[in-house]
Amino acid sequence: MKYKKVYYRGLNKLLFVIVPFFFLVTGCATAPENNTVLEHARSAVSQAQADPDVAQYAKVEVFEASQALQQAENAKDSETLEHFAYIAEKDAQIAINRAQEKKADAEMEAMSKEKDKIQLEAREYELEKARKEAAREAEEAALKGQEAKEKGQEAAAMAHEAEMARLQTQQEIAQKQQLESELAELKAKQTDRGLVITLGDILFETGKARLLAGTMLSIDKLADALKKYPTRNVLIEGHTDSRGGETYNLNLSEQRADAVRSALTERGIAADRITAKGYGKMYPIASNSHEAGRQQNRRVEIVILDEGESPEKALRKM
Amino acid sequence: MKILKKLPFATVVFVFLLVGCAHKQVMPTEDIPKAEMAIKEAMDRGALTISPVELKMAQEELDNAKAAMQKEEFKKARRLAEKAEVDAKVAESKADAVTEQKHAEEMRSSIETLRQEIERAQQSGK
Repeated sequence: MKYKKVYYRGLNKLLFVIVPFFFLVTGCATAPENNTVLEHARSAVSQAQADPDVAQYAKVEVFEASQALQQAENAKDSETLEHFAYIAEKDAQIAINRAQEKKADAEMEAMSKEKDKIQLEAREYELEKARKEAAREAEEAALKGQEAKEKGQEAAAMAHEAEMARLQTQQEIAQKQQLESELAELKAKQTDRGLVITLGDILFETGKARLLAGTMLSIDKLADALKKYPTRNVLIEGHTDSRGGETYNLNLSEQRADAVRSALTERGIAADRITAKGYGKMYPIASNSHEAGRQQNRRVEIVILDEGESPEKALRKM
Repeated sequence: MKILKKLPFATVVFVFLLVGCAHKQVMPTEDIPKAEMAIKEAMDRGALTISPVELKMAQEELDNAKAAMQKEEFKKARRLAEKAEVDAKVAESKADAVTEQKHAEEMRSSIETLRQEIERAQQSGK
């Protein structure tokens, strides 16, 4: 009985030790045998580690994954193993996601710079375009200005010409008036043939063609006037009264006309400007029936022709 | 009656059992708030639309962790909270990656558009 009792007590004690140990072993420390879970975690982590983007952008995350995997490898029970294997796998996923995010972020930054550069180039292009446009407009404006200037110059030239023409006309009129006034002293008369100056026979000795010395003053004045107006031609006409023969009178009138002509050429008037002609008694200007009339008829008429007119046209008929 | 005498011994053994097996089994006061924060963060980053599967997983784990807390299964609660946090981070990092990739894609196409516009402008400008 005593033995029995002792046995019982020992069994009892043993039971109290064994049962908790059983609990301890099953509940807390089943051997890590769930290899598929671990394999999964290993492959996920090594995949993340092999990713170059992860190596560059997610070093911390991938380290965390490897730490979790290490804990799974070292786990003393399957529950711990499974837990850390799960964590490791998820950490690996996080590392890959973070790497993708950071990579996209880096790309964004690079592209943002590129965009800035493109926008700058675009702005520069626009500026350059505007500059060219402005230059072209300026050039156009300058061209228009040049045209306007040329037109202005043309107009000015025309105005100048007109003014010159006006002045010339004025001058011509003034010259004509001056000539007229100068010749007025010589008793010149404006006729449709031109200015006519009549030199009376008092300039000549009776029956002679030589000019008297006292008449030279009139000839001088005439020569001066003709020198001032070199474009005007001169017609010199000799006339006589009705006394004497026709041939005589014709000759005498011619000689007197010639005498005036020579006097003028002597004073520097070009011979080709002067045409001398004798008409005899053909063109009396007064009655030959009395001495006063005859004296008027004995004369030399000097016709100063209008500008540019030739003497041939102005000649009287013979 | 003799069994009663052995009670202190049994108690000691049980205490050892508890301590030896559950040396980490303290109350997971930090783990659940951490998981909650991670989930909130993920939602802020658009995980609801971009990575809803991962987010849902995290939320379920969080719920389970809270349930385990109720039952005072602290170790289980702690591990579930850890899982919830890591899944929330997966959801968040995926949302971030997708968002950023989308932005990069938009930038790429906007640059392309800009280039084409400039090219057109230069051609018509000539």
